[in-house]
Amino acid sequence: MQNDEQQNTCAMCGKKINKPKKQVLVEKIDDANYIFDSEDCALIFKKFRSLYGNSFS
Amino acid sequence: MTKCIAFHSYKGGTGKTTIACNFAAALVKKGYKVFLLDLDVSAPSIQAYFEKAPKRWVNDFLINEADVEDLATDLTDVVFEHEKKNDSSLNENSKNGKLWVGFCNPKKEEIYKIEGGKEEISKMQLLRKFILLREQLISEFGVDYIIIDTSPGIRYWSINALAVADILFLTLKMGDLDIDGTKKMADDIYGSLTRFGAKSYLILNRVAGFCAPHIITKSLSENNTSVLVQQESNVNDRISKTVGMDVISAIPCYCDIQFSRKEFLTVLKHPDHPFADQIKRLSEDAQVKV
Repeated sequence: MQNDEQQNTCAMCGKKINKPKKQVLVEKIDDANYIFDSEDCALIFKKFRSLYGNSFS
Repeated sequence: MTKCIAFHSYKGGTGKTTIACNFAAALVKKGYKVFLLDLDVSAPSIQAYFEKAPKRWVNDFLINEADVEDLATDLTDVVFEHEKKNDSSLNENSKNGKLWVGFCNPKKEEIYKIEGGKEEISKMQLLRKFILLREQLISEFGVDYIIIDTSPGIRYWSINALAVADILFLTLKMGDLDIDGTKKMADDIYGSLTRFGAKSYLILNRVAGFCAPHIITKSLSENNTSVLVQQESNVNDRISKTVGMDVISAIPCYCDIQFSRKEFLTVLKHPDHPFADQIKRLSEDAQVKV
């Protein structure tokens, strides 16, 4: 799960997300919410999570 | 839309790099913009293949010491130099083709840095730089294809390469198969990625039966000269079923390539060679098209 400090950064690429809250891509993965810069980042994150397990975050 | 294709194998020496380089050149010939990325981090060989000295290495980008423009070596001229000499089929569309290559540094100190040895750069930071590299190749170079040559087996950078790829080519060398190992890797790694839309295929390389001694072919009946090829086809089906992946290409063993001192872009140097034809067909496969 992302902490307060990480809440404005993409969980995958680590870039700051400067979008209005409504436009931010939020995905629930293993009961935790993650925010992403793009669909692409979300997909790659899920692949890494599937490969490396829950320790990948 | 850019397609990212990773060439991988369970064991080394399967011909992965040769196929990846020829495949990239075949796409450039068709007029596509291609970035060939060496990510065989522990044993890079694309720089030795092209014998070119890059301004900066992929390693430098990953540890924040170079920009994407610096690591890209433009080798478009290499493709069209051969095209002009050997192939009259160069059309207007072909001229749009571009080839950039990102070379990986074979120096042990540089390998150590990106294998997580440089403590001030975490694995997550390296991974994020890799994601950024892919993104910048698409946005700044406008590439149609990113072709990644990975390390064999289950290694940190080969797994990373597979995770960002849309298509995974698992290369197997016939005659030196480790089906159990390959199947386990296919289940563990490829299964995790195909769940999220990646497509994976087997490339069988050095398939035997095409250059059998005359004494063997003579013993076959006149109308049955393809028996050896047929037998190999059965083997291909069995491998495909066992590993659980479709065979997208079965490349015969050509002694002139396998035993040449240095194979170099057969697809350009000898466009009529059956190996070149096989690579051309692979580059035209519907699964590969952008």
